[in-house]
Amino acid sequence: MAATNMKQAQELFFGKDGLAVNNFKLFPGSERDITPEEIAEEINASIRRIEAGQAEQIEF
Amino acid sequence: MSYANLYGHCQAQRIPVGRKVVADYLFDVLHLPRAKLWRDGLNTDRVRGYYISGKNTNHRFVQQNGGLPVVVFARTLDDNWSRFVIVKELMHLFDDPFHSLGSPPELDALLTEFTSGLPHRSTAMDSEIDSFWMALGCLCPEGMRQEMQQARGVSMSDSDIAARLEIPTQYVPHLFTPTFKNIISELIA
Repeated sequence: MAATNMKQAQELFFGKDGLAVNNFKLFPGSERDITPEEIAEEINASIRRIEAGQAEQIEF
Repeated sequence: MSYANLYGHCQAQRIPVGRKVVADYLFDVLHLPRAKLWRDGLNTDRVRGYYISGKNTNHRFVQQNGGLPVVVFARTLDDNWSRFVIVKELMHLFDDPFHSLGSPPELDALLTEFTSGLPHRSTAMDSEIDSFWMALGCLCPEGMRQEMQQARGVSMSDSDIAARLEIPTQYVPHLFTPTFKNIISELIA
C-alpha cells in the first residue's frame, strides 16, 4: 500500500533525511470539508515544487 | 524582541500597512531571522500559505533557503489576501519552542485540528489563532480601528473598510468583535 500523504509529510519533515522541521504553521484554504490527507498532499507538493524550481522566490 | 514592539511600530503607520513595513521591522529592528518568501501554485481551496523552518542543512530545501525560515503563499491570491497571509505567517517568527511544531504526532494533530473543529486545541493551534489576531493588530492601527468602528454601518461598509486597509473583507468583522481589544492587550502584555 502506498504511504499516505500524512506519512509522506511526516517523513519529509522529520525522517532521517528529512528537513528536521522545528516549526510549521498553516493558513488554511477556503474549503471547509478538507481532510488532513489533502492538506498534507498540498504541502508535500508545494515543497517539491520549490525544490524543483517551479515556484518564485520574491522579496517582502 | 516581542510582538508588542511590532504592534507599537504599526500603530504609527498609515494605512494600508504594507507587508514590507512589517517584514523590515521584524528583520532590521527586532533582528528576527530574515525569512525567505516564495510564491507557489498552492490550491487555495486547501491551503493559502504556510510557514516552515527546518534545520537539516544537508536537505536541498533547507540549503535553498540558507537555513532560514520560509513563508510560502499561493500565487492565485489577490494582493489583500496575500498581504494578510504573509503577515500572519511572519508572526510565527515570534513562536517560542512551546508553541512550535517539531514531531510527527504534532503535525498530524495540527492538520487534524484544522479540519475537525473539535474543542481540544494543541499549543501549535493556539499559536495559529494568536498569529491571526497579531496580523490584524498590525494591519489596522488602533486609532484607525476606532474611527472605522464609528463609521461602520453608517458611512462605511465592511467592503469599504477592507478596501482601505487592504485586507480580506471576511476578516473585517473580527476587527470589531467586542473582545478585540482584550485579545490584543493579552498579546502585547
